[in-house]
Amino acid sequence: MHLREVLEIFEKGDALSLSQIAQQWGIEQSALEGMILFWVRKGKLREITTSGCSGCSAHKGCPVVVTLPRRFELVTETSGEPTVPACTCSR
Amino acid sequence: MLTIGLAGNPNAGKSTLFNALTGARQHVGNWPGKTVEKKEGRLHLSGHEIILVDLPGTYSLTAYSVEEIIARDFIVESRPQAVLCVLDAANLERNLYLVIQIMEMQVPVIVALNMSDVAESRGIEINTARLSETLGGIPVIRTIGSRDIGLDALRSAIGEISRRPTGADRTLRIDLGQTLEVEIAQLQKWIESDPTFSDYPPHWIAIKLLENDPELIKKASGNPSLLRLVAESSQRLMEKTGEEPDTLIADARYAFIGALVKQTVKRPAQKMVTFSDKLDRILTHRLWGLPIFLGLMWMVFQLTANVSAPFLDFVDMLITGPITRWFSALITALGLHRTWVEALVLQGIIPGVGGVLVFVPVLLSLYLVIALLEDTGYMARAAFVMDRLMSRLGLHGKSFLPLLVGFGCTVPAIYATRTLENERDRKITGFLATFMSCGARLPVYVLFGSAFFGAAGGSLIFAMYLTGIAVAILTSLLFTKIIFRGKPVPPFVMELPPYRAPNARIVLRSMWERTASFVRKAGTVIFAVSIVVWLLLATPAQAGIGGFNTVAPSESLFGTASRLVAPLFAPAGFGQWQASGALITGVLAKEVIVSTMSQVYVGEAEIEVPTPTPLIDDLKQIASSLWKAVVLTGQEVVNIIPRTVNIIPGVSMPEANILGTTTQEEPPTALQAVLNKTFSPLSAAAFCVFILLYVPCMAAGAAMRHEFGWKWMLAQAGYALGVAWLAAVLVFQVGRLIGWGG
Repeated sequence: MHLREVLEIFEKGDALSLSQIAQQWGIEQSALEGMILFWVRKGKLREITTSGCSGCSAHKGCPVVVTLPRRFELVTETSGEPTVPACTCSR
Repeated sequence: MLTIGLAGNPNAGKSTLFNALTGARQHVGNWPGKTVEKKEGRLHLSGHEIILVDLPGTYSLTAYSVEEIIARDFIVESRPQAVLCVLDAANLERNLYLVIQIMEMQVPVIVALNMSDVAESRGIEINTARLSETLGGIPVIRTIGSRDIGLDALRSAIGEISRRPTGADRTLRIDLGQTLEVEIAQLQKWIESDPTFSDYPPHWIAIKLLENDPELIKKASGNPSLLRLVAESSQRLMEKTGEEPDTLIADARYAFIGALVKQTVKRPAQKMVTFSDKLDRILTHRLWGLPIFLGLMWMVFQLTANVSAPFLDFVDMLITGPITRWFSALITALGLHRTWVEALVLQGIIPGVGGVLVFVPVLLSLYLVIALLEDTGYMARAAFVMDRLMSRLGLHGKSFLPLLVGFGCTVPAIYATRTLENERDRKITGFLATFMSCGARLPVYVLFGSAFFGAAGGSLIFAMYLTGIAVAILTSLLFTKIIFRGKPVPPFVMELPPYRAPNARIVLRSMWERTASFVRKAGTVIFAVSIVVWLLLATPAQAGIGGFNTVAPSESLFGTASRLVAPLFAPAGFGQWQASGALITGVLAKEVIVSTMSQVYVGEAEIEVPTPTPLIDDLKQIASSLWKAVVLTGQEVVNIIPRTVNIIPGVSMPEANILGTTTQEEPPTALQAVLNKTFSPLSAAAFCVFILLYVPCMAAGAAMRHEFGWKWMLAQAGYALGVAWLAAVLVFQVGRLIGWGG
């Protein structure tokens, strides 16, 4: 699998899991992750760790501490890195 | 003294091997000028003393992290006799990338194929001889660091390499392809003549300069001719291939590794597909993923409503029985009988706060099941399935996070929209989050579900959550297809963690933390609102219709204000002033709806001072009710199976009935009994729909204003009110038309 092909998977625009892609291309999931991280360093892809409430001072008492799995997406806009907010709710 | 570097990816078992090889002969410090730990150990092999230096765990040798710079600087500047590369044999493809980069630095390499047992258990067969041969004859040794397997072979390989004279080492130069190698060869000539790089392998420097390595570009800044040549080479490569040189170089390495693995690693086809993969094929399927998610959620709400019902009755008995009696006795003992204090406590605070606390068992069971689903890894799949749906709706996949958070509380959901980059997505998602049924609305559904729908109460709750999602979908289509059209949604790839058995400690802690926040709110916001509502109920709206605390509730300030808006809700079937009043206070916080209903419906009755009973009788009642709750809960858990099976038409599996009674046959709570007289099942359903969709609570409104401004907040409130009213009227009127009563 070539690095360009990794990028093309993202450009095709279909939601997939790392495991699905690794199986389709017959490579190790960890190797695929390494290739994706190459593009992350190049700024073509972006890694999103949506730890949801991690920045919130009240997250220990929050009824909805959500941690979603790591995601990678194509960088299509140059509006800067997303920021995970510090939740200001009192719960 | 000879030095050997120990390199490897994180989690490849490097430290275990280091400890096994060096034992107690270790020195721990820091790398010069860095806060990264440096470990050195000593080895005695055939008369040689060898220092083994544990390098930081890295995946590559670029200049992106301190660890990578430390590792490569050590290899280049300290010139070790060799580098021992510890590889995770189960993840060989990724681990080999580091080996290749170390070999590019033209240093002798020994490979330890660590964790070979894990690889073997997965059916991965590695031909070590072939691997060694393809890598230019370097030693490749199978090891299991945790069991000291392969250590003797490793020591012998280190000893053998240590005895070799420097320069007599076998190193492999990977062919990066003709296009690249031509450019590298040209640069190499210039590098060889540059004294700055006299200590470095020129081929490696050429690669690094083409990769635009910031550290080495800085080093070469004194040689502008070299930098100009690098720029020209890069330009030529881009013109020829359309790719930047660093991509070409990385691609050549991956191609080499791919070919290497094909020749040396055998994986049984069936072993490639793990149990997690098989489950994922079903649970994240394009067609079935969503119905399975919805089915699971239906089961969660069935479980929540039915299994928690016996304890809900128990807590209700505790609050309306012994606790009310104890407070009454205390008030009488303090000489405050028949005063406003007695009314405040027995008609205001206890029904208000107690009416909400009754639902703690419901939340405990809901959060238990959610925590179980999270800890097994299923929620990640649910996120994946929903994320895909979001993309199809024209929303950013990341919108799922705020919407998911919205099922718990709308306030953090609105703030979580900050994770979205553009304002359009932020505004739409914040708008939609208010339609996700938050945890505070759950007590209302449980109250009405158990009062009017018995065993099908769980289905009512599920229907409410689905209705919220459906309204959000329709609203999002309205926004993305009509109002804010034509914005592409970036695709994504998600890492799904493997499934695992849930950890009891994590599950219980998560369940407790979430429920505790609900209890805290009952002790603060709901306590305060209960006092205010009681004051408004005790104060006459005008003179001459009764005094403070003696006025009829319907003539109080609260009753009068509620009566004003009540006619608006008559077409939806709940035009009583009590219900309207609860909707008004519900704007403060949704939990308050239940506490207000408890105050106005239950507390509306003349205070009946509870007959004092001996403490021992109260304790006996508590113990017997607790025992009954425990047995009935067990019965409900057992009955999950027949109830699920009985959904299939024509199937009738008998249910357990240990005490000769079921939860549904238990007498209703005081509030449920009053509601049964004032609502019909249809108007109850319409009321729940209205509560689901109408304006979010005050805190959520404030968050909306803070994030999107007054206009957007007011637009959302107006839209939500309109949709809620329309939906409630539709449910009631259509229901009546098709003969569901009224």
